[in-house]
Amino acid sequence: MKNRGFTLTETVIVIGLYVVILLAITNAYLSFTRLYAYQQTFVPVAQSAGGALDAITAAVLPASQVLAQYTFSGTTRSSSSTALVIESPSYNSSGSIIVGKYDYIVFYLSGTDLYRVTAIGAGSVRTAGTKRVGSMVNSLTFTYDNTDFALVTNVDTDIITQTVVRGQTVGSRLHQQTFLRNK
Amino acid sequence: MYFRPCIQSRGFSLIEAIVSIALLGVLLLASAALMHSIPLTADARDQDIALKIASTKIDALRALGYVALPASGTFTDPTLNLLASSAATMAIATFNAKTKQVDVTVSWLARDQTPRSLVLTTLITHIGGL
Repeated sequence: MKNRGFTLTETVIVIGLYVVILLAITNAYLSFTRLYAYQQTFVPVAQSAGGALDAITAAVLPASQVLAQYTFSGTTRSSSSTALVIESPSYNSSGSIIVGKYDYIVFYLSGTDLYRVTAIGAGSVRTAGTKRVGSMVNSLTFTYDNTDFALVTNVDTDIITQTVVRGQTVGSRLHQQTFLRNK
Repeated sequence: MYFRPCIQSRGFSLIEAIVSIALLGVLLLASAALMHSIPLTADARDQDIALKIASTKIDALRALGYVALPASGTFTDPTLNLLASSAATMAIATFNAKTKQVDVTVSWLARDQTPRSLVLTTLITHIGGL
């Protein structure tokens, strides 16, 4: 009687309980990893949309006009619904505008990456060169208030970034209309 | 006569039970905290969308100029429907003889169903542009 062990019923009940607990833990673990993966993806997706829109807004605000096209060190870029070429007054190290000198900036998509290329006028302290300002871009649409680029007074930017994680689409969309302050 | 000592089936002690319940509680709290951090990023994104909607409207109104300012009312934006139960309103009031005050409000429901809103205010004068 002393060491009689477990009865079959006891064993079956214990195994049944164990299976239920194991299933619950597995389920919790799976949903947590799914949520975690979503979060890990959502943050860079949202940051990419925000960063890209901030870069575009920061360039459009001081711009003097939207250009139909401009040649950046041999590559001609044209304004369209997916690319934006702008002309902005150059400024020196004390922040004053250099009369008659302009910096040229283009935003364009290459695959799902958004690039900004800057060409500066003589004496300008703006940073020249190419920079990737957004990634995972699903769609980028520029809308202008005039079909004649020289007469454009504001640029409407609509950007959607998205990516797929574990079969789930994670996306972020932002929209902003920016008026050229030096028009 | 032989009596068995009653230590035989003593079960769990109170300390053991308390420790296991505490462990369970800590785990539950940790998972609840994790669950709570999930809507935070979505709320931050909503805030960003609302800010863009409001600043776009403020800019558009400033570009219109003093004379062409519309009456107070609602307005729409392509991204307004990304916010739950959202509404966008503008209030144009006289600030003084040659200045109008414009308040743009975007309101929506956060993930936890609490109402949120964002207000941007600007003064538009009779002379002067953007």
